[in-house]
Amino acid sequence: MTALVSAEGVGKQFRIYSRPLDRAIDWLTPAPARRGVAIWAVRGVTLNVRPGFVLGVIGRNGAGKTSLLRMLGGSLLPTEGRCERRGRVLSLQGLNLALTGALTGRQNVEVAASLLRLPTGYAQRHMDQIHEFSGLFEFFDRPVGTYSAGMRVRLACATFAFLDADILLLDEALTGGDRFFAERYSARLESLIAGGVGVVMASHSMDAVKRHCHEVLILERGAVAFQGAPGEAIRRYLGSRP
Amino acid sequence: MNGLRAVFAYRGYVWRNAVNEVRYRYAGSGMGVFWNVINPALQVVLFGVLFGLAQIPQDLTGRERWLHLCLGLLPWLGFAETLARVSLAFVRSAGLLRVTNVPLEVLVAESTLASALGAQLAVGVLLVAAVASGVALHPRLLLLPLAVALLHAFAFGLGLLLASWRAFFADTSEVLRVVTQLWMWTMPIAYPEALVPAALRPWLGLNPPWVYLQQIRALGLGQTDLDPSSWLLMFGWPIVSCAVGLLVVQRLRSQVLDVA
Repeated sequence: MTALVSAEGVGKQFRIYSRPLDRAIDWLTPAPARRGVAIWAVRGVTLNVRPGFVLGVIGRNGAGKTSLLRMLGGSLLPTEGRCERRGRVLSLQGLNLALTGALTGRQNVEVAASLLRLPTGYAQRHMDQIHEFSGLFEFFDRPVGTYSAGMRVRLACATFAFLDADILLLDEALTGGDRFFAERYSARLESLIAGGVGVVMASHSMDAVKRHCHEVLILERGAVAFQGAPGEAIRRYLGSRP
Repeated sequence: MNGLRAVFAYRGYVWRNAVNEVRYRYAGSGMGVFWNVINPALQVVLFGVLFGLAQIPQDLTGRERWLHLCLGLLPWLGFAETLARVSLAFVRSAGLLRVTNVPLEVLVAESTLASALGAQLAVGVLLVAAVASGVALHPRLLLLPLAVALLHAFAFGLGLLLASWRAFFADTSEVLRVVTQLWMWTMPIAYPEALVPAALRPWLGLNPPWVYLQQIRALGLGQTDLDPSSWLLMFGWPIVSCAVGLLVVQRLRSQVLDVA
């Protein structure tokens, strides 16, 4: 079966500069004279995600999970290796980063649909479902700037759950919101996976990883420490020491 | 060209967000969307009074002087505001850049379009005020929106460059503020062209915004026939600025995403 998202020997190097001027000097000088400190956030990751397959990514803070997910989604360009995507990617990282405070919940859904270049009228057709799923009631038509953090999570998740996508990238996306909403969202996610959506999920919640993932990848300092069955991955991860 | 193709592909998003920005820029304020009109209207009145009192330029009188100044100043202020706003396009949308693979050029296009819509509104208010004060309507006025749009197309190219630099160098915003202030005084916008030394006057055409402002003024006042060479430059400068801007964004794309 053709992979929806794949990575082959993918790596990301960030260059950290102590002063902005150093970057400017770097632009003007040949590579050997570079002043910034090079740090590999991710290196040598190879993976494939087929339709209906869920890959879990676990690791400590700073292990490279978010950088890997961003590369898979195309919002970060790899320094080495390559990532390929076949289909529409939806990425939920930090849950509500892309919401606009001045717009209402409804308008944010419309903007998200146009950002994903969904067909005209797609958002309108699914608006009632998104509204109902979010549980925001009359707040759905009020500016997002007036929402609490939990309400923003609800809107982001509800939007995410009903916009047409082939690949979902979830970065700690199942840990926001209250317990009841999280359960509804997990159930919705399961129905999307059953429908053939491919998922890459980075999470610190071993329960969520155990429940949803078919395979788990442990990242340690940007490198793959283990890649295999969820049970074994969780056992190794929890058994490891910092 | 890939950058421009991306802007076209995302045209629905660009348009929707630009309109939203104009509509909701003053969200929460009592006058709301009307501030988009009130602000330029106040500027028109203020310039009229100040320059009328100072009798600048001296060779014009009354209504002509007022219109002459406003037709230069309002588009310039719109252009300067566009540069300031567009330079922040990547910084303001850092959250979006972290979660989507929206092309960088699209963010600059959206900011430019929002500012351009505001500038068109300002020029529209000016024209309404001009007609209300007795200026005769003439067909060439229909070219005014095109001239303002071309000025902002030029700003789009510069915006690509500025937004890329601003992503790395916070000083860009402050430097830009100083540069635009100085830039204004390199052109006879708020002073008569006669004050420009004769030896320098032929070179004014090389100052890109001046080509637009001069034509906007001429169109608004119905002073001259269309100058083909000026219009050629008005179409040419955006091509140059966009070519440079797109090249810079292409070269820096990976690094901009790294710091988003």
